[in-house]
Amino acid sequence: MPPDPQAEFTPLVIAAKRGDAAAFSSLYDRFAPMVYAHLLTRLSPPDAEDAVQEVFVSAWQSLHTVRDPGAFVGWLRGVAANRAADIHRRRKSRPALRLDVDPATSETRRAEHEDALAVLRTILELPEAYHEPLILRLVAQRSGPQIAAALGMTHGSVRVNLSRGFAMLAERLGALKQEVGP
Amino acid sequence: MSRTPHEQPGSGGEAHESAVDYLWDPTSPPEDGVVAVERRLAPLVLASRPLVVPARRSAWRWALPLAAAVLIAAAIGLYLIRPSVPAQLGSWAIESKAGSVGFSHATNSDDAPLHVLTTDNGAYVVLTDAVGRRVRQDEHTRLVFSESGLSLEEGELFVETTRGATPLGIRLADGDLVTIGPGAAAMIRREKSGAFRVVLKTGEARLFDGRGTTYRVPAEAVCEVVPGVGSMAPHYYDAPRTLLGGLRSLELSMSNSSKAPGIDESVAVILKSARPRDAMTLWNLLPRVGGEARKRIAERLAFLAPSATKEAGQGLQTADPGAMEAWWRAEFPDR
Repeated sequence: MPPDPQAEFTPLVIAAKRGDAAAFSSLYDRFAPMVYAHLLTRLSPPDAEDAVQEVFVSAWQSLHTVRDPGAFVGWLRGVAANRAADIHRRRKSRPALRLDVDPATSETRRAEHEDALAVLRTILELPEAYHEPLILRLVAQRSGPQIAAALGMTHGSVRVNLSRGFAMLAERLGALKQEVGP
Repeated sequence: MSRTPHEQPGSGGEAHESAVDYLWDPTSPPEDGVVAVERRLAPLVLASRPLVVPARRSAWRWALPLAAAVLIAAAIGLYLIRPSVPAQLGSWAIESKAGSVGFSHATNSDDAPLHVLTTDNGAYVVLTDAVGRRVRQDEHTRLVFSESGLSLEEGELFVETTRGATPLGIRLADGDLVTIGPGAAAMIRREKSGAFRVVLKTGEARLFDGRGTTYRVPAEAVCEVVPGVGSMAPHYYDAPRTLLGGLRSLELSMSNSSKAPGIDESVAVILKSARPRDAMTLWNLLPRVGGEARKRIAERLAFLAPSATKEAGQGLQTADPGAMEAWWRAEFPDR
């Protein structure tokens, strides 16, 4: 078996459960991009960014409920999903995708942000199975094995979802470009 | 019958077959189409923000008085039946500790004094020294202090050093020593099998083995010392399984084990399975092997890490120390 990337962090989970804040900060450094990618499938980017901190604070408060440190990643994704559901409930509906852009931001930067949103929207219009693998790879810069570990999937499934999802994404982005014109 | 994307293995992305390797492994040669999408999504990358951890709520508030009473009773019991742990062990001060921590004196074969710190179930000790080094000794761990430094005999340590710290040396097996460099964080564990595992989170470490080989271990890499095999060249935690098998069989071959496939065959497996990211592993093997095997490794390095290998020049073929250092500095310029 290849080394399990999650197993490397099991000691950190054990230490954090005992109240070691430094160990928990290390877990935050390692898993914040994964949580953010998960939240991006459910929330707007600014909300997702804010919610990452809230997820980890909530995780810190209830870390004692994790019986198996090896199951930490799956448990953390559950905390993130619950947090996203809370935000939805509070707002009664899913908010439209938006970015909080400083009014002083240049036109170029604003256009880049709008373009990023358009690409994200296109990803979220693909079949759901492709959402998280593509965001983990293209936004969080995670490798295939890291994505497989984060999502609890086999390498084969992640490889298929990445290649098919990216092919569909590229095709739709090409079509979008043609609609908008040169 | 319609199928979900999970249930459709195969090559559905034929139109983008060339993108598959880079999509799977971002350290592979970049593919223009994927890079273009990555750049467009760059404004969404999570901004680095430090986590502010609040005081933890207790889910067992009702049990606190009882737990406190039990802890006090346990502490009194331990105080009565065990020698107390001193606040200072040589240059190390005990910053914090919890649970059942044992302390005893012993001598080595040369009659030199040793201090032994042991942690039982759920216990830990955090040690610091005046030069910016911090060691956390976790449960079921036995750490020995002697005039020549620290030795891990059992269990698990977490080590952190500040940027200005002097390297911290920890003895592993007979003759093997790992040094954790400044600005590093590492986990060092001795498995029940007797194998040692060093995992670098940040910074750099070096492993000096009893055979005279020195391995350099960068962040995210793992170095192992296995009974019957010896120390193995470091590899990244996500290295291919075939690469790890090749490293193990190489060490067996070099120790003349009759079960080993031979040095050339082992090197061939390593070279075939190495990714560009694994150039670090190959670099570590250059001084370990000689002759034709070293030449083949240097040639493969030129393919996997062309700019660093070009920077090092022909000296890599002879594992010249200057060329080796030049390669490392080119490959890891921030260290």
